[in-house]
Amino acid sequence: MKALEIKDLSYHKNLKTILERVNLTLEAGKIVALVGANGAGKTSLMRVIAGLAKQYKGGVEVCGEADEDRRKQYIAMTDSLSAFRDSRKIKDVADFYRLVYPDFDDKQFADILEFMNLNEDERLGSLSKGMKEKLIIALVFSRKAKLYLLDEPFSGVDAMSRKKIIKSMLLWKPEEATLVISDHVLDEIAPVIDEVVLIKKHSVLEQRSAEEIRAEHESIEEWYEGFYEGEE
Amino acid sequence: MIGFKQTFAAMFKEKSRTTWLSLGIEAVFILLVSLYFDIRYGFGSDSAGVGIGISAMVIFCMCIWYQIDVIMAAYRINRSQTWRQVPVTAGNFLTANVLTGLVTAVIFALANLLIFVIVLLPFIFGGEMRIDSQAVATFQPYVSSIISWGLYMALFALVSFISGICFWLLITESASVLGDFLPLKGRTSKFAKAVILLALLALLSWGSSSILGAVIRMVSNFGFDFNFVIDNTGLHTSHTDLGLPVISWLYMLAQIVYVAVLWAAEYFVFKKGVEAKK
Repeated sequence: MKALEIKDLSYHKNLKTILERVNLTLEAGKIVALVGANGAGKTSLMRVIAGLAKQYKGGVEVCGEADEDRRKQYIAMTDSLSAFRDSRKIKDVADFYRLVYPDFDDKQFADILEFMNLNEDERLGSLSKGMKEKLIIALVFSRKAKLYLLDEPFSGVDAMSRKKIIKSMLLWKPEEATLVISDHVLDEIAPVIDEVVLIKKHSVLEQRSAEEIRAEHESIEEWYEGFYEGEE
Repeated sequence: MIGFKQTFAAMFKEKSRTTWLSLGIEAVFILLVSLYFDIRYGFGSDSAGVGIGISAMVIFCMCIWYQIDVIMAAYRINRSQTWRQVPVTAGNFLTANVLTGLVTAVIFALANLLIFVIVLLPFIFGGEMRIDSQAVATFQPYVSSIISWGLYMALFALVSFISGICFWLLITESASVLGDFLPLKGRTSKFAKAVILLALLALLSWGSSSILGAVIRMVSNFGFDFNFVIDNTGLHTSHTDLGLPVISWLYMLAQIVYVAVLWAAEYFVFKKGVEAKK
């Protein structure tokens, strides 16, 4: 079953091309790394899929649903939580998620929060960048979604926690759900991924299975770095 | 997918925090000011009225500020990535956003009325309360007419408030959508946004002012003129009243149609063009 199908997607803003003729199909249950340099269009692609960016051309279907509003029910995407003031507690944010997402699982949230060493009485303003990112990951995986979109989720998380979280994500994610992790650093997510999608020059340059890459190259990072050799 | 009720409940929960916080701060400030003037000058003196004047000014300013805040909150929610990820249809989202703004504004206005009544109580009862029998006798026949006018004006204010939210959402969002997607860059894009904003403001203001102007003319010409006069001797009334004319309901209808047009235009802009901010 297809979790995501994108056909001829183009997205321009003012005079700038952000995505051009993107075609991409992801099967259900896969863990996919969405890689590319800064500004390649990874975040914009996720925003288009999630219905947050508008005025694009082409087709986007999530679990067979093309309607922008309706496909949101299948997606859990990382969010900066900018709608909440620093004075709000973690439990307030959880209350909001509980109210607006019917697939929010309280037990899962409590478990992940404990795993992340976070207390639900802590205020958002007292959290460090890394702790806030852990909370965002906890909120995303507390939902039983079909498609998880994680946009550079580990940039502020310390190396030890990052490894633990990456391993645990496999347990938190429902088996049939697809997980897309966008990052420009591959080394830590490489061991768990099934597929790699490389975005370059505003389009999908390569989509390959991780197993194939591992068989042909020393590592996924080596394969990825090969696309940027000779570039500044 | 969630429905209108859940979306409304979630938005109301978030927005009402500001309402209660603002009301709490305002109420404490107003009561302290009134108490100060009441204790210093006595409840029955003319100088005690200074406290009421200050309270009325504070309430007026707070109501204006709150109206602006309601519109800003609606705009922030429409542009918020957190909110825009919520699985709800655009129509339900927008309606819930506008109506929660209205409901919190009504709560704010009613609470302010209550605060003002509380502030007035010692002043009224501290002075010699006199409503002469002749005033009461002439007041009686007009009670039902006053109720009709009161209901009409309250209803018109509610519809106008909705039109105000839709109006500002439409012009600010249209300007940013057109500015974002026009083939322009940098300063030219900002300039284009400003021009579009001004053009829309002029065009839609014309629509609002035509209806509101007509209603104001109707009110002043057809004769709702009922005054309460409060001084240190108590409450007095004066009035001339000619009842609620049929045309007033036509103006109400015009305002409702205007709101519907604004809402539909805003829905189109929101659904097709308004992006969530990163």
